[in-house]
This record gives sequence, C-alpha cells and structure tokens, in this order.
Amino acid sequence: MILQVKDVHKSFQVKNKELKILKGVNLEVSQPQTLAIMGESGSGKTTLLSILAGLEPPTSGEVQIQGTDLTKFSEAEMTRFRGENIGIIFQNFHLLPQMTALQNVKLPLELSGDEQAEQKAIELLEQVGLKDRVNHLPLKLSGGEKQRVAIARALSTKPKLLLADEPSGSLDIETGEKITQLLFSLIEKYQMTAIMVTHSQPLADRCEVTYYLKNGQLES
Amino acid sequence: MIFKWALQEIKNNKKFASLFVLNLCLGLLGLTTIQIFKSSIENQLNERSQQILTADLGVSMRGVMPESVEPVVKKEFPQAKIQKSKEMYSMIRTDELSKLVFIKAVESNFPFYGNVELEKENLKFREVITPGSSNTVVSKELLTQLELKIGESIFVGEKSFKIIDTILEDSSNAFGNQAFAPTLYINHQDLEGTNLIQEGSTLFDSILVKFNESLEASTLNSMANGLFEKIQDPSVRVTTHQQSGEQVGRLLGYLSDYLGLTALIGLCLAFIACSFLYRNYIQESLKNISIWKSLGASNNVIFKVYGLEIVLLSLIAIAISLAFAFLFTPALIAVANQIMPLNFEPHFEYTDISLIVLLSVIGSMLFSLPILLDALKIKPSYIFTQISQFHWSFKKLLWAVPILGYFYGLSFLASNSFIVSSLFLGSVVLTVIVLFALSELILFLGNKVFRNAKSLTLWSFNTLKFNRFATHTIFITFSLVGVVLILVQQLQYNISQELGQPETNQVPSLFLFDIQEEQRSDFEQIAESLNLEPQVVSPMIRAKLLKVNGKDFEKGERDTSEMTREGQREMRFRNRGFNLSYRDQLLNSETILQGEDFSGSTYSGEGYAKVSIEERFAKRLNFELGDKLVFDVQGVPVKAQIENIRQVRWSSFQPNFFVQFQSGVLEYAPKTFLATLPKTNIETKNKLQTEIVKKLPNVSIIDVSQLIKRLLSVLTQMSWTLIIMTVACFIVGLAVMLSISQLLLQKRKRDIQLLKSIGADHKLLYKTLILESVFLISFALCFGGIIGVFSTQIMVNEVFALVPKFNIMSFLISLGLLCMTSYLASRVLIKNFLKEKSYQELFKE
Repeated sequence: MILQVKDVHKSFQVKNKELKILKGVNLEVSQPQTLAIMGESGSGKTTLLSILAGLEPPTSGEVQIQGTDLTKFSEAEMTRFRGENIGIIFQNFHLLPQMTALQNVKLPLELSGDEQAEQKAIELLEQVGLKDRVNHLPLKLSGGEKQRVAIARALSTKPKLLLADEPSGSLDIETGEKITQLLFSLIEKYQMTAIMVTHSQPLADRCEVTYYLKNGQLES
Repeated sequence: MIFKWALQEIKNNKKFASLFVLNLCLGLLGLTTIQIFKSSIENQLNERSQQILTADLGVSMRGVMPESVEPVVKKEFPQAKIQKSKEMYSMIRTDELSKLVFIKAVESNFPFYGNVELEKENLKFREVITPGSSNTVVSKELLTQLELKIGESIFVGEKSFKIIDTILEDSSNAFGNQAFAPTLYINHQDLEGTNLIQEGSTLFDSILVKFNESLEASTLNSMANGLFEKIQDPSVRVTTHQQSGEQVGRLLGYLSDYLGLTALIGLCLAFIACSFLYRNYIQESLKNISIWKSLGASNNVIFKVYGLEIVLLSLIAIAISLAFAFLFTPALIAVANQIMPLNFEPHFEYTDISLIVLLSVIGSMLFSLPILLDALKIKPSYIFTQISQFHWSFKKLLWAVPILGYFYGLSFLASNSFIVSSLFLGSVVLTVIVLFALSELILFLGNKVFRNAKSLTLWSFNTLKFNRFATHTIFITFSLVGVVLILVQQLQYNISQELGQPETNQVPSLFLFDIQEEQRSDFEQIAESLNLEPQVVSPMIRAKLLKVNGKDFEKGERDTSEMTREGQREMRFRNRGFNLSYRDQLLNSETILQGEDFSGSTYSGEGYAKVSIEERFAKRLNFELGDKLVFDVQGVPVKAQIENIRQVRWSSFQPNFFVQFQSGVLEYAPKTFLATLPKTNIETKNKLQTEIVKKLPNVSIIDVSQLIKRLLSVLTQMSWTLIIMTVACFIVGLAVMLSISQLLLQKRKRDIQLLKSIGADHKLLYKTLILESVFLISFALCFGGIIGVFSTQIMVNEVFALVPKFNIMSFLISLGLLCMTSYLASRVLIKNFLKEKSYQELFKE
C-alpha cells in the first residue's frame, strides 16, 4: 500500500469555536497512479494536502505512507521522511529567490546527503528543458520556467509520493498545458503516485482517479 | 478624518508601530536624560550662583591685585557694598605635623550671600572671624589629620591662630576644593601677619561687590562690562554671579557634553533602525497606497495620513523616553554630586522638553520622508502589477544633506563647540563610510569563499547579500557600538595608566611652589639633609603680554557666556596673566614640534630673545613661528621671537610653562621657584613637609599622589558614567539588531517553511541561522573594536599628548561580552521564530 488515509479529521479553533474542515477522510492508493482532488474554495483541499505531506498533523485519524504512520513521527523524523519520500509542487512555485535554478534543485539532494547532488540536479534541469537556465536566478525566469524548476526540485529525490497544489494555477492556459504535459510525462517515467489538488477540470481529466472534497469528506 | 486614518494605520500595523516606538524611545532615552541632567545642573547653578560667588559681582585676579583696581570699583559702584577676599593653597603646621590647606582670608561681613555654618549652633561665623582676633575655623577633617582639638592653635605662615570651631556647611565651597585640601578661614586683616603673601605668590585676590537691589542678569552683565573696560589690566577678571555659576559647572558641562555626544550615537542608531522599519512598512503598504489612490485620494491626503502617523509614533516614543529619563536622571545627578558637592536635584524646564519633542519629530520626519515621498510616486496600477517602484538613484543621496545638517545641529547643541561637533560628525561619517566599505568587502569576499559551499550555507549567505541594506545596517550599527565602547574603555585605561603609574613616568611625589629667590638655597639644603635631590627647580616670572607682531595684544571679551567652548577657552587664555620661565634643557615631558630647539644657547643681549611656546597655547592665541612678542616683565619691556612650538605632557606633573625663554633674559627679573621632589617614603615626606613649613612658611607643598588619587576618583566616576551611556548605546544597538533581524526572519518565513518542507530539519536551520548571525555580528564588533582601538591611539596621542597604551585583556573581555550578549539575544529570537509550525505561507495564493 502506497498511501492509506484512515478517518482523518481536522478542525481549527476560530474565536473559541471549533471549525471542522475534514470530517473523516478515507483514501487508499495501492499502486502508482495519478489522483486529482477537486472541490470548492474553502472545502479543505489544501488542508488535506498539508496533512498528506506531513506539514500539518490531523486532529484525529491516521496517514500511512508505505505502511509508516506519519502521525507517530516527531517533527525531526517527519522532516527527514518527507525529504526522502514526498515531493511537493506549489501553485506559486516557491523558489528561493537568492539561489539559482541549479542551487534550488540541488538543495533537497544535499539535505538528504546525496554526494552526486549537482550532477543529478543538472540532469533534472535538462529533463525539464532548462539546460540553458541552470545558473539563472528565479527573478530572471518566466512563470513557466519557474514551475519547471519547482517540478525538478520536487522530483530530485525521486519521491514515492508527489503532491501538487494547483500546479498550473499561476500560469496562462498555454504554459499551463505545457507544464501539465511535462509533469505527467515525468510522473510516468519515474513511476510515482501523484495527488493533485486542482480547480482545473482538464488537469483532473488527465488523472486516473478524481475525488471531490465535499462536506469534509472525499467522494469519487 | 486624517487623524482618524493615521490612528487606524497605527492600529492596523501594531507590530511596526511598537518596534518603531521601541527603537526611537531607546535612542531618545540617552539624549532626554542628558538634557534633563544639563537642565538640572544649569538651573541650580544659576539659582545658587550668588551663594557660590558670595556676591553679585566679583573682581579677581591670580596674584596680588594692583592697588589701583579697588578705587576704580568704588568709583564705578559708589552705592555698592564691597569686601575683599584672598584665597590660596598654603601649608599650615602644628609643632609636629603640617598640611596643605585652602586658606580663605575674608572680611567680617563675609559672605554677602549664603552662609558658613559652624558645628556649634550658638557660634556665628561673622562673630568669630573678626579682624585682629587670630581666630580660625577649619574643615572637620583637618582636626583629625593634624591631631588637633578645638581651642588649640596652628601656625598659618608665621602667625599662630586659635581654632574656634569646625565648618558644618559652606555654601560658597562649590569647587570642591576641600577634596584637594581642607578649608581654613581667617580674617583678611590677620593675613598680613602670616607673611604668606610675597612677591609672585600664587593666590586668588578678589574684590566682592553686593548691590543694594536685585539686578537683572543683563543689567549686571553690562555693569560688569563697563567695569572691565575701565580696568586696564587684562589679567583682572570681572565675573557676575551667573557667570561664576557657569564656571563652576564647566567640569560637569564637559561631562554632560561628552555624554550627550555618546547619546547621539544611540539616537543615530535608533534613527537608522526606524528608517529601516519604516522602509519595510512602506514597502508592505504600497498596495494600500495604490488602493487609496485608485479610490481617489490625493498624494496630499496620503502624505498627511502617513506623515501624521510618524509624528504620532514619535510623540509616543518621546513620552515614554521622558518618563524613563526622569527615572535615570537622579543617578546621574548623584554622580554630579560626587564630583561637585552642591546637592543638585533633578529639575527640568518646559523649554528643554519642547526642544526634545521638536528635534525628535524633525529627526523622525527626516529619516522617513525620503521613503514616503518615494512611495507616493506609485501608480494606482500597482494593485495589478505589484512591481515595487523603489529604485536607487544618486538624487536620493541629497537627503543626506539635511540629515547631516540635523546631526551637526544636534552635536553642536550637545557640545557647544564647532570643533568638537565637526570632529564628532566627521569621525562618525568617516567611520560609517569605512564600515560600509568593510561590509561590502565582507560580502564580496564571502561570495568567493561560499561559492562552492553547501546549498543551505549558500542560501544563508545569499540572504545577507540579497538584503544588503539590512546587512549593512546591522553591520554598521554593531560596529559603531564596538567603536564607542572600546574607545571609552581604552581611553579611560590610558588616562588612568598615565595618572596611576608614577614610578614609570617619574611623576614627583611632592610639588612645591612660591619658593622665593632667597629661599632657594634653604630649600635645597632641607632636601639634601633628607637625601632628596629635587627633580626640577624652575623659575617663574609673572608678566603681561603687550604686543604681538607690533600690534597691541587685545584684551579678550569679558562675557563669554554666549561663546562656544573654543571661544571661551581663547578668552580665558587672553585674560590671564602670563607666567614665564627659562631653562637650559628640555624636560622629558617636552617635545619640540616645530622650529629649532635653543637648549643651551644664551641670549646675546641684542635683538629678540628666543621663546618656546606650548602647542595648544599657540593655537588658542594664533601664535606662529617667527611671531614677535613684547612682554611687560615687572615694568620692563622684553622683546622675544617665537623660535619653536613645544608639546608638553602635562600629566608628568613637572613644572611646565606655556612660554619659555632662552637663558640670559629673565635671570635678573623678580621670580619665585617651582620645584618637584622624587618619590620617597611617607616618613621622609612628612619630615620634609614639617621642615619646609617651619623654615619656609610661605612655600606651598602639594602631595601629588593625593592629587592623583582624587583625579583618578573623579575620572573613574566620569568614565563609569560614560561606560553606562555606552552600554545604553549597545542596548539600542541590540534592539536595532533584533528589530531588523525579526523583520528579516519574518520575510524569510516562506523560505524557512519551504526548506522544512523539502527536508531541512529544525536543528540544521537553527545552526545555519545562528551561524549567519554570529558571522555578521562578530565581524561587525571586531571591526568596530579595532577601529575603536585605533581611534583611542590617535586621541591619546593627539588630544591628550600621551604615549598610547593598549589593554588587550579588557579589549578581548569587552568584545567577548558584546559577542556573547548579541549571540544570546539572536539565539532567543531564532529559537522563538523556529518554534512556529505553520506552513501557511506555502499555500497562500
């Protein structure tokens, strides 16, 4: 089992009131596949993604990745596990502005102690079509290029699980389409499971399975 | 409405507002405290000035006042009451012991103002110190020191006096003379029998004047000016009681001036921080400003809202700093009371407060305006583009002009000296430029060093590089703190070493003055009988300067209260009599700076005699090499030409003179001698004192080691006050660093969350951030410390004319403490920051 989500609840305290966002989410992914999670704004898609990435703990329930329960980890253990097993792509790319494309991609590899970080990062940048932009700072890159760097960075440690938050949400239609194509080709190449939170129906249509988050629960 | 909007801005930006207020408040605290301190001292000196002078007006001179002066005073003020007073240091003795005392010979109606209170309640001073009574009252400690009891007698010069009582309180004793020597009062008429006053004796001779009615300061001043014009002798001083109070406050004036300048550095740091905070705040408010504009608000309205916000925040900071200043001022006043026993009390004037308010608001506006005006150029389309419009241009450098002008004005206000304020501002600007260059150099070298570093280290260094303004601000702030702290500490070390190590400097143990010509051989015999050889015996001849390069030497202005410190100093030099001397060889404490040394040469009798002038004396009176001077030596004109300019190390405590002739000119002029005796044991010292007082009663002896002790104690009090002010400056620096760092960390929130999300754990991030902070602050403090050491060496050499010394231990300890404190503060800040577990920044659209 690659991913198993059991009865996950998440609530927040807002002005002494409990705001329930997730009300028992269940999900199982047994083989590499692509999943889309859709839902209205404020439905809790991003919250669910944060929980799957181990960035937020659930209020209750279990999240297991390859049989390991994330909710039992300490913060340091979770960080290490995430670095090695989970890749995340953000809507706003979130590249470190003071570092070049290469340095951005190299960073997770170095953090995981990979001695061939530089070589692997260059290869990845070549794969996303940025061979000539290796030493450019994010400021000098277009939106599409930034997202390519972000994809390369997310894939750099060859994670089992790739999580993407509106990966084409900040791009124009044409660029978004190109990025989506690139992303799917790489997912296929590396045989990984990808979960994408999106509003975009075309993106969801490309995924093998689509879920809708309604009333705090996933519906297929 | 504008006010409401400005308040709303403050409410909506509480974090910025509180950091801005905190920094400005800390920066203003030093300046406010000093201003209240100054005000307290000035006000009370002014209030008590009549008691300090004991009269409305004083006519005085060093040496015996010419008989012609008294009739001039009486003629000028026929209705006024007049009394005479003579003050001098002299030895007194019992049969076994002797002691230097400060003798005040006064008339029986002394004092016109104030009171000399005696221990016994039924005794009145005026009834005790009557003419011909041979009565005396003395400071209490003198009885202990000379093992005397009330009713016993002492010898003052050749006359015996009966001790009637001890002094409980003396309102005129403002100079703290009793700290150097106990006071002894006798009647003016009884002084004659002592035979203390001889040719060339060192004393202050005064005529004290009391008017029948209370006079305005300006009236009294013009009356004093009128009298001064009528007295031809330039060495006679006419002082109103207000000026007398100001003169008493001069020492405290210097202290508060230099404290004020240190406080200015604190204020400067605070303004830098506030400007940084404001820049950041405005950058974040650009969207708001563009929304305001798109809704139709004019630049004028937006300017008023944001401008008023700064004024309001400044006022809050001023109010808080004033409240704290009132808490701290009593401590400073206590130091002042130690230095000058006048029982000062905290006091403030509303005009001072208004000045502080005005200056603070102007300062805040000056630092904020360039940023605000820049922001107002933004177009409403910013809402859509979000492209920052802050661009660097050389035009912006023009803002430095009013800012420098503002600080020049503040430093002049603090020091009342063009030279000090110019030097101060010049040094600060130069130091900031050097530090800026160093900061750039570090980034440049760091770029090379860290080029191949691990990504996280590179990220950390690149953050410093990308946030140049913040990096330079933190670097310069901490360096400046290092400069000031090390400068004050090393300066104090150098001066105390110079004063406190007599063995190495051959500082004498006893300094004797008023030795008459006919007493010289007796003095030498006494010294020889005790196996002591005088280190130096120097003649001293009193003279007046008549002409400089053929022109009459102009008498200086009498009233110097409106002048700068330099002007006052020059006037003091101009109005004093000249003491001339001659010697065959230069002393170790003298060095020729310009011109030829004429040691060993004798005046041929033709043309101009050669003179050597002390460096600072020459500067004050604008004397140059080759200038021709004519002196009046006891009625005989003596022509001289300046052959060299000489530096004197006054801390040697050897007899040194501003004007020194070559041999063969003044040998026949009436003179007295000054002499110094080397270090010896207490027994020999006591024997020598007793012998001299018995055989040469008019000769005064100063125990140099006691004097040094007193000077060191004053110096320590002053330098502690300065160190406390510098530490306060450091606290401002720390607050600046923490404010800026916190802001930078907030800006890096997204980066940190991202790094965590890709596998950077808490420990690694903590280590990286701490290293970054230690790297920057340690470099800054070390460079600051090194600049501080160099500045001290230059100041010690150039200003104090001493051989510079360096105390490496205290330097290292101070730097270590500064680094440690900064490290601990950064640690707390970073730990708290990393505690946050939210990842919201990553999912913001």
